[in-house]
Amino acid sequence: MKIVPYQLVLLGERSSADMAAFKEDFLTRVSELGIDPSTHVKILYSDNLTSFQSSAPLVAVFFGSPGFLATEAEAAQRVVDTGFMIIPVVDSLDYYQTLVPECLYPVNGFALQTASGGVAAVTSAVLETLNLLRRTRKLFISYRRKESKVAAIQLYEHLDSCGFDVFLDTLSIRPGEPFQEVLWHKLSDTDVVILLDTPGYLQSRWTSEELAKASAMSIGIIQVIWPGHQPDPITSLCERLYLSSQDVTPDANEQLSFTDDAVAEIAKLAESLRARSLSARYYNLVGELKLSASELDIEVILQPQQFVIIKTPHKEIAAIPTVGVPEAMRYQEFSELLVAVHDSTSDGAVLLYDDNNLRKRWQEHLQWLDTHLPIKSVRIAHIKQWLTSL
Amino acid sequence: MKKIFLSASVPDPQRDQRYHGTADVIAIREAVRALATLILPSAMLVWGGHPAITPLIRIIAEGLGLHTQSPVILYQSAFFEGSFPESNSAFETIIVTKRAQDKKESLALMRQQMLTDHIFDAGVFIGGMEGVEEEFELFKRYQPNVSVLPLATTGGAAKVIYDQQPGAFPAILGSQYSYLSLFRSHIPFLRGV
Repeated sequence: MKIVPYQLVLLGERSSADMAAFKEDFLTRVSELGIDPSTHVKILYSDNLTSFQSSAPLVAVFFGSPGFLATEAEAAQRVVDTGFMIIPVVDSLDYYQTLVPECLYPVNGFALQTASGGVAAVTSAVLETLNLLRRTRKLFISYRRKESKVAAIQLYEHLDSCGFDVFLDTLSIRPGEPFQEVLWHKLSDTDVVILLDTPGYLQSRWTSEELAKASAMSIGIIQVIWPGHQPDPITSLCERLYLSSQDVTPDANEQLSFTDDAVAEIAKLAESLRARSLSARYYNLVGELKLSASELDIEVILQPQQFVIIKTPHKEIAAIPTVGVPEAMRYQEFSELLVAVHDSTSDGAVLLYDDNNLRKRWQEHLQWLDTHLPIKSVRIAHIKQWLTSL
Repeated sequence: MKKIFLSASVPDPQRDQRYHGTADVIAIREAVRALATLILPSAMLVWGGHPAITPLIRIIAEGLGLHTQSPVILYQSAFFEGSFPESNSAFETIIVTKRAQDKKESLALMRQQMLTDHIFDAGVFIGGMEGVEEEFELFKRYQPNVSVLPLATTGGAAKVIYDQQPGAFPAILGSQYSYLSLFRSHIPFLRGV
């Protein structure tokens, strides 16, 4: 698999001290997350923007100034047209429209002031847009205890040290009931699943329907295939990693453990697949919203920090597409975000999510929150009815 | 009812590098997902059964509330009888084509029948290996004036097909990953939906 980079586009005033400071801060924070910037981050400018990969996550930052160049404005337009986020950064919002190109007028600008966190706050916004903050880096390792306990624990320890929040599937699951509600709930909140595909693994765990369900949810699945084992064709939509006998060493009980290189390779794949599947899941939500909105002649404008403005002739509503399980904290963050970006949208704010596979108890919890919070939630499955009701 | 032909499979790292070298599994999955999401509510999807793709389309159909009598026709060769995916039963119309001497000939027979039984409104080619290339050739032969969309961004055979005839297909097929909007603008009857 090719490495999918996190792409950062720097536009605007190239000689500005802010741009240099931001770039340094961003690279430091990425390294702190256990991500090697030399392999996982690609920084682009207006002159090499054409080399970006539209399949990989991308965020642009435009450093505004009164005399910005036409080439920078064209590059900003291109990012907007491609549907990626662009964060306009300016010294002051007072003269905002003189500092940025026209295509950024509808986008909320970020005023770079020490009081509001300076470049570090811009870095946080970018990391959030790329889904890179530690809190949200969730992995799920699924394995068969009898065959791969040693390797699973080894992988758990390494991925944990890489800043992942790892869930080790140690629940005993009764035959005939391979995936309970709780487990699906957990899965729907996971960025990447790693299957340790030992010879007896699949039969005891996944049916083809369950694999299809995970695919339909756009969850990235890495299938680590034991040396000599032939994978079942029902797993062909997984990202496959075939191990050779050089990648493993047997222990006294004949359980295999990975070599350091193999563990590093799996971690690299996980990082890469995570970036890819999160952006797929995010754009599935946005895509379905846009699809329904266009049928109803409703405009959808993407904003930085991953929220969108839904604009009808009479109303403007802010919506935040949320991948995975929405938590109460997410509501609070969204509400704070709207205050921070001085969003004047007064017609309400909603959290957009996919309730498919969430626990019933959790769905009830979200409905209960709806009756108590200023921000409501909207299920993507009901998006059309909701848009029609606006 | 409008009919779309789907040809898709996933290249394996241990098979031909010509296909796997460019294959993008996530893109393949997302393309199938988007196609089924858009087509099933209003048109018919026809394809040759695949152990991972068929169950995915079924789950999407269920998600759309199309539990029974989905507008899908699935072709399977009798050669694989006994190893048909479990999910076949409840969901689609299955046409089992005759078994021939060997696997290769049985598949050729299935493809021939699948592509001559219907008049299609478009053909979509996603990822894949030799089989997808063969289906593309047959599609061109039997459905000569119908739009064909080899999604080069999914890699594999679709990319081989796209690259073989520069300029023959919309350039967007080589760069666009948001398949919902790609299908909406390039499948004739979905335009403006």
